[in-house]
Amino acid sequence: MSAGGAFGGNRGARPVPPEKGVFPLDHMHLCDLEKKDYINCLKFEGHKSEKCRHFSKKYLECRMEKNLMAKQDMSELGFRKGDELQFPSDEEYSDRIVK
Amino acid sequence: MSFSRLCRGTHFLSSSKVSICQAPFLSRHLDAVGSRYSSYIGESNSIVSGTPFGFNRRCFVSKHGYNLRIYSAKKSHPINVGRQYSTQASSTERKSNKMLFYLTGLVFAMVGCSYAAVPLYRRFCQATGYGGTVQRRESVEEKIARHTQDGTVTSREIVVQFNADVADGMPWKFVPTQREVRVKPGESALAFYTAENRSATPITGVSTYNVTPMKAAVYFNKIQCFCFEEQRLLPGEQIDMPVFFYIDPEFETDPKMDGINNLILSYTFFKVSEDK
Repeated sequence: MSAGGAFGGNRGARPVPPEKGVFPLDHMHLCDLEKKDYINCLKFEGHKSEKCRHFSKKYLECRMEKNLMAKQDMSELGFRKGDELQFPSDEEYSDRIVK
Repeated sequence: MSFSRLCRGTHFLSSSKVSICQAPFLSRHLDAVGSRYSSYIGESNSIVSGTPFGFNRRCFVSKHGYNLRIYSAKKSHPINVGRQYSTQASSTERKSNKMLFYLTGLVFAMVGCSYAAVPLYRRFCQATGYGGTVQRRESVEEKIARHTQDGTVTSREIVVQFNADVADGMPWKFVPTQREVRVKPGESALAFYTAENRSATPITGVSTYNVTPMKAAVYFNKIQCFCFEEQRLLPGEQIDMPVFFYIDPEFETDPKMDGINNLILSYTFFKVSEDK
């Protein structure tokens, strides 16, 4: 039944707040490097999220360290242990940034 | 109006209506019967409109007063008749009052029902999943845990594009840091937005989001983002705002999502206040 869109559709639905709440803003730019790494990785990999997962993991770990995010086990957020080992040479990407 | 209709309905009653108010003398039989009928009419009248009853009442008095005189002559029960008259009138009053309370209560009950219908229907939809409402009981972490346990493998690649808007009169530059992200359902992904305060005063803004197409929005879960809370930017400050989201693997198995391979996540920033 596609009645969800028929009868005034989203009228009853309200925007759902995020599960874990709001990211406190990184005013001090503490995790900027990790973020830049991730963005560059996306650019080089054709915006494929799975290839840059280890960078996003690093970014989230950085945030947890700097108290910008509630500390949590990475597996709970969907990061499996295999992600770390996929691209051992992270320096490749950082070199590209420098150049 | 209804009284006249009632009277027109029965020939006898119309004649009695005339006789009640005009004739000072009547046969006793007609009186006795007529009084019963007119008391019935009078009762129904009190519910419909006030004045005919009042008019009737006056006639009542005269008629019953006449009756009283007759009865006092024939039988010695003046008190009984008097009591009968008063109880009759008060019982009709009580009945009409009861009717009034009942009807007012009904009105309020109806209004209350229409207000209660909205949350009740929503709860019903959530409980039964009617009309495609997704039960939002499971948190994202539970979902992720469940899918990793099940070992669900997803193959469809979905392109999530980003859009950023700023409300009128908001001097911020708000853009997505990456144009799109290709992600598979079941994989949590990170995305960034960049906001810059171009004015000379600190401005506080709040953002809201939107996912199109709307029917796919139920599968789009935001784990963490920067929306719904006030964010303050100092003049000239540029900041990165991350969004961490997750698309439900059930997206792949849903037949309604067959042609959908593009999702657009759109954020809009509104100004809350400006410090001067």
